[in-house]
Amino acid sequence: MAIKSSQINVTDLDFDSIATNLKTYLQGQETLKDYNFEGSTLAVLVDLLAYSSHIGAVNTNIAGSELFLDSAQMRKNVVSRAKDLGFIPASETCSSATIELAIKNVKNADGTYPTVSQMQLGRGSMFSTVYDGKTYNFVVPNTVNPTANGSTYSYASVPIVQGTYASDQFVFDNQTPNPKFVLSNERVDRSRLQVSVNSGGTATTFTLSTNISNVKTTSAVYYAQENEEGFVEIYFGDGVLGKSLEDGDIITTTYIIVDEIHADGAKNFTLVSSVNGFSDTSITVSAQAAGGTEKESIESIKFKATKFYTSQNRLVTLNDYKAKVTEYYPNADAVAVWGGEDNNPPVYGKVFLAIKPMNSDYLSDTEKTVIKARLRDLNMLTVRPEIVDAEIVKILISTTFKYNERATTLSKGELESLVKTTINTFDNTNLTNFDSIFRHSNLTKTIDEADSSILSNTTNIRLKKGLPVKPTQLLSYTVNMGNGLYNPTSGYNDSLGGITSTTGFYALGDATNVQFFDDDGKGVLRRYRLSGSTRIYVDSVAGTVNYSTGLISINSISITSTVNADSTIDFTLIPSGSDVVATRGILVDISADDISVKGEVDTIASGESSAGVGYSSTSSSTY
Amino acid sequence: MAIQTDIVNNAKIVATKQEWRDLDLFFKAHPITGDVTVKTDTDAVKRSVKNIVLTNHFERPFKPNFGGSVRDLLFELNTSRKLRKVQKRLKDTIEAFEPRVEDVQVILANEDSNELNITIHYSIKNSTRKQQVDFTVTRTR
Repeated sequence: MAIKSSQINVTDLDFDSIATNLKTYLQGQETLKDYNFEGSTLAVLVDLLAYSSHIGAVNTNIAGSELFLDSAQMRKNVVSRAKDLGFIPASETCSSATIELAIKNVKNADGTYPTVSQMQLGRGSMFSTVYDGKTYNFVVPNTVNPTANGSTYSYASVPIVQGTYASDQFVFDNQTPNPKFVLSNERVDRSRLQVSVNSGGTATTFTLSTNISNVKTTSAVYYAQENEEGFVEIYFGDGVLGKSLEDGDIITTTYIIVDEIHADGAKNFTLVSSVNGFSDTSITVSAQAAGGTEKESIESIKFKATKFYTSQNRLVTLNDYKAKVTEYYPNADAVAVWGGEDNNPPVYGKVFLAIKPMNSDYLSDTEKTVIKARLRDLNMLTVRPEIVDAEIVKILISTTFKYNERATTLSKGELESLVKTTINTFDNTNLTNFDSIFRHSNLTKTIDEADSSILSNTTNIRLKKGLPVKPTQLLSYTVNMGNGLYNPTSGYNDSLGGITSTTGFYALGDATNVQFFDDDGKGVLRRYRLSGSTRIYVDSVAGTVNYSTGLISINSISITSTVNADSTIDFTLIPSGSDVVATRGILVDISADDISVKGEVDTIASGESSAGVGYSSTSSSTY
Repeated sequence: MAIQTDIVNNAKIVATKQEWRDLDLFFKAHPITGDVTVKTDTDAVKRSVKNIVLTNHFERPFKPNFGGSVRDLLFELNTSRKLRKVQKRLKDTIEAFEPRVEDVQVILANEDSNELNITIHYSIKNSTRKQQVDFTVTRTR
């Protein structure tokens, strides 16, 4: 259809469409005609015009997109849009550990003992660790005073953080409008930044302002944010919202530069430099290194900024808690929150939070205390936050698959390895959060689809949960599987221990025999030892098993030690259904170490058996 | 039938001629009208062929392969193999981007004076007359 020369389509943005539109427009005139030939001068002009229009359109599009949080792509603009909502993205965070340090044989040459202040462990004191074959440096973020006991000086619960200690100084110039001070290093843990201002010879420590409702005209506070280049910049109050600085004041910032590789999991540290010339140290690690994170990603900022705005810095709904915890603890892999009224048993006036860190299963006690203290500042008076450990229920997978050996070039071993990888991928994709559900049929379908030669599979599951025990203490315990347990008839499998099996432990009064738990199929938990393969019951009523709720209660018992090195007893049980649901603080996870995969040649498909004679199938109840 | 007869009687036989009209790349003003000079017919095609040969690769936006890119050749080795390769490249490029011409022949003359004389012979389609365009590519300093 011919287009009149007065009409031109202006909505297309890409180069080819714009050029075509211009040529269509030129068809409406007779003066120049060679626009369709690439070599013509007119085509050169058309291309230049189209290029110019295209670049203009792209720039306009980018400018439009970058104006909004949802569509912005450049980090500086996402950060800026988030700032409009009062959200400041988290910086990199150092991996941190807690150690107990003792320096022994401390005595001066003249026979006197140094003073406590002489033996201070100063900010920036270095420790080193070798983790995964590489050496990393840890530093002390705050000066620690020891307690002296003769020639031994002890430093209790010393936090150390991974990275390099650094310092920047600036001079305040009141002639500079809107002064901001940019730190000279990019990877700075903002939460560990310390700022002091020396004004006329008097040094004052300034603190980070996080809530302007507490800020007065004389408050010594500073503000920190990420600037357009991704560096941390600080600025000070204007005399109304915080104390303003005087001309010539010297600003000193000390901070930790975060390493690019986080040594989360490191637990052997050595003191690099001596303290006051003494270096005979003994170091015990009370919390291994954890919590190293990267700068908040663009996607994370977009997600959290809106949640943050919705919660308005107050903790009222469950989602408010979720948003705040992910802000306070960026290393959280999954967060579950539930009200005390939904707890089992109900605890009114509390809100429960279960947090699973990225690189470990549990939060350290220090991390719990810090998060809890920060949450308390924002929650309602009548509600108290309670942080509990995520309860991890491991799913043990045992699968036997049939395959047609004529339909694949892979060996049996390679196919088994492929299926194992498929199961691990399924775990990483589907079971990363609280509220996840393990759907048995989805897994079997995924296994069938792992390779075209796999014809079918029989996959059985068991549930395993570790019970941490406190050795030598007389305590009762509960193990909550969160899912119903298999009990088709009363007294099911009584003689062989019902559906419960555990790892071994030693109980008070019998230091020689390893003991175990099983059940009688009627809801009673029993404790036994083995004599050969015979079970000798030490306690026939050691607790109860509730098959419908999956709750195992163990009566008071003093366990002296466990076979597991980490003072836990693993309970392995058969669930009543094939799907496994995670409720409240339970996290469902496929145990990668316990996946058992067996491949068998399908005798019918490969032509070895006819009419199904000699074909064997796997029982759906064996494990 | 009367209508049919009228149409036949009133019909005119008109010979149409394809006319090409393009701007001159030098944008010189016409001495009388003051307008930008317009190249027509064979001149327009000649200008087009010259444009194609002298345009370097990546010069035209979004068309990285457009052009003969002959200026790049000035720093190549002076061998007969290279010249043959260039001849083929120019011929292919003209045939690909200038659909109005056929029977393209490229003659390169290199007199070892740091320059390249290029002569291109071609016929404009539906025309018997052979056209020719000559130019020299030389280094500027």
